[in-house]
Amino acid sequence: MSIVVYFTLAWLLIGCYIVINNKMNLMESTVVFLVTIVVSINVSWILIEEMELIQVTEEPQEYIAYLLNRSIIAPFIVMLGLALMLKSEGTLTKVFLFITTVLFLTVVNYSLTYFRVFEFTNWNFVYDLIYFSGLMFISILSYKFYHNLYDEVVKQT
Amino acid sequence: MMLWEEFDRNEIFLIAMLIVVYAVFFLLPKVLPKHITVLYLLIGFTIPIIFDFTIGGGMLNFYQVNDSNAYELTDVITYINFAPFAYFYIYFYEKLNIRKVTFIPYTIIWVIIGLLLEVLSKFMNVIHYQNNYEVYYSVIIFIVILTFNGLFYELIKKKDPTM
Repeated sequence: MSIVVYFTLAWLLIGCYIVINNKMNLMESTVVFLVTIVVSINVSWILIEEMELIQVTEEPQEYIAYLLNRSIIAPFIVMLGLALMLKSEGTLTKVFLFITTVLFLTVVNYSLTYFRVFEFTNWNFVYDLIYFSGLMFISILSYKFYHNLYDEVVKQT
Repeated sequence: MMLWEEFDRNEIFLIAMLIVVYAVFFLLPKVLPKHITVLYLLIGFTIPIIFDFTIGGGMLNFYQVNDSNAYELTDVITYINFAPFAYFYIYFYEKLNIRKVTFIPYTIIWVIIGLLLEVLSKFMNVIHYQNNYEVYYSVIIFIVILTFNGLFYELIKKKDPTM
């Protein structure tokens, strides 16, 4: 069951990202995706395999749901949040979108415990809130860095 | 996370490779714009991470990188080593003016280079196969990655006004 839920969610997020009027170009989107996936994969590996703060299922189907969440769902939620933040005007709206994105990431991650994909042994949603806030900041910084670099190249040509 | 389990030939090989690969990267005349260079370095760094933590670890666990299945600093050096290879692929793609007809032979040459590097990495104890994994399975991975890299570059050239 979990594989269907998370596959559909992954498909929906990719679809939404494609259809929204996005200010990020293809290369900027790719950079944000790659940076987010690197952080997401490394953090989940350290939390699960190295520190054993979260236990992950040994059932193949549920394990795919975990992979989908780590490698597609989390990066695309971050990218969607960032794209909407860039589109919005006003600091308050941007802050609201930032908080909503972090909450959404936390809810999706927590939902893995419902499907018995995860078991939080020494972990809780407050840690997730902190981690996902950090992930959002990293994605914003990577976008800013690459956007400035791209602007520099455009000005030179 | 530990630095390494034992400082032996795989660590020496990785450090030597790091010096050689980045020397080549900095010495080559710059052909690609800065933003493409950064993008392809990032692609080269990310792809081995995705594969290592998906099929090289966890449930499938087809191979072990360096001395143990635990996360080591040497693993990070391994990923940093791979970063310029995606750049080299695009660099020579542009330099040799690769087009539709030459795309397949060019990619096949890179698949062979990738396989040779993997055999060398295995010999130097950087990579250890597990759970019936064999080197020839990597052909599929190389073909997919290199084809993606080439096609993605073509897409960028179409969309990017600076190219």
